[in-house]
Amino acid sequence: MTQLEELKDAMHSPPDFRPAPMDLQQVMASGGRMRRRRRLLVGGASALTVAALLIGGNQLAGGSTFPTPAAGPSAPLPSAVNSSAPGVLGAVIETGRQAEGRRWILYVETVDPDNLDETLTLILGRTKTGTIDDFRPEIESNDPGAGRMAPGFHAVKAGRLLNGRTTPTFGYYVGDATRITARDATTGKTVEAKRAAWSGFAPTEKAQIFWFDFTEGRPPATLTDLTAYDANGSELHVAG
Amino acid sequence: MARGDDEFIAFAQASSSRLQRAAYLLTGDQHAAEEAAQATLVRVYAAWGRVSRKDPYAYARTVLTNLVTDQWRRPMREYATETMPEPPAAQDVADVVSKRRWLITALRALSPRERAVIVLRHFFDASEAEVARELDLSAGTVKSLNSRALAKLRITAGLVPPLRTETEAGVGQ
Repeated sequence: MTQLEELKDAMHSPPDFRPAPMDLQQVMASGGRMRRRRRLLVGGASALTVAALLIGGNQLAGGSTFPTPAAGPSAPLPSAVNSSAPGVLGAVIETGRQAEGRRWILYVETVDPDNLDETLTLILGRTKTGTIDDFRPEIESNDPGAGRMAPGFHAVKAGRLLNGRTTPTFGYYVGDATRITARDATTGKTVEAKRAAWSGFAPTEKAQIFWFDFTEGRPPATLTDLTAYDANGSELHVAG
Repeated sequence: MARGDDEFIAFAQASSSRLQRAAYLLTGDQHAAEEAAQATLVRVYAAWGRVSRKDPYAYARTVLTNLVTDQWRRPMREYATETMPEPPAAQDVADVVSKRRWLITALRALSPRERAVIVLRHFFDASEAEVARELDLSAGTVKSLNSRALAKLRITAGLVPPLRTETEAGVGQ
């Protein structure tokens, strides 16, 4: 054995060292958090471009509450000290409305970007600066259990007065809708939602975040017959 | 479990011991080696979707080396020693284990850069070009560090009596 071979042999079998068993669950938990933090940074970067993602819709004024066809119980609020704290994923949507100097925004949070079907939560929040550490969640909405990426309406929350602030009716839709409407129960008129494209990391993880416009300080409209239409005007899904 | 977890677990189980040994050679400390290997696997898992289709072991090697040698890039002086450990007395190197122990001790006496080059080149069998890229050094510097480190080890190692097997050592006692 040459001296170099002896050195290699010694390095591969150092006498006073015994490899320790690794806690792979801990490794994967820490690695998952690191992965989510990286994706959160990606989500934060996308917040800068959300204004360009708006894809249409009409205004709606007045009204009260909307029956919630799909929304489940609210998830716990994210906590900075919670090791599994949710991360923002994808585009952050500006509604174009604000209250008390803070803009209403809509965005997605998840504790597991690889399992959106069970973890996607839609947040209505407010922000002053547009940076993630300034997001103040006001309403969290998600469907219970799995199926959150199935075609159709999800996490729909009715508009209401929240601490004196008017919130919009909002939710997300999975599918190729080109128009989402509802009926104002007071006036009988059909109103159209504003929509913004949203996507996760997988090519198939796509949705439209929608909301009905509102006037800050006035009670929101009572909306019914939430309907999605395709490009031909055919109904895709009806909720409420 | 997330997609690809099974593959990551198989990779981690297969590479964990080797990564820990490499970290031990680089740090000289068992506890630090365990921490460095674990931190490496955390980073590999975080990037698993990207690296699993390429060469995850090469990625892990790079991460580990960078974790351990990160302090080089800070503005601090490197206190390399030119004094190699005294070769053990003849009766202490009469078996394989004593010889290995002495070589590891001699390895620790190298400068951090020399040690990293030796570990990458002769433990991981990385090419000079790979070592240069991973340590952010020129190819010439890697060649020079490798030659100098081997020279130090050879010079001292040359003082060690010819190796006998453990059986021979036992018979001889």
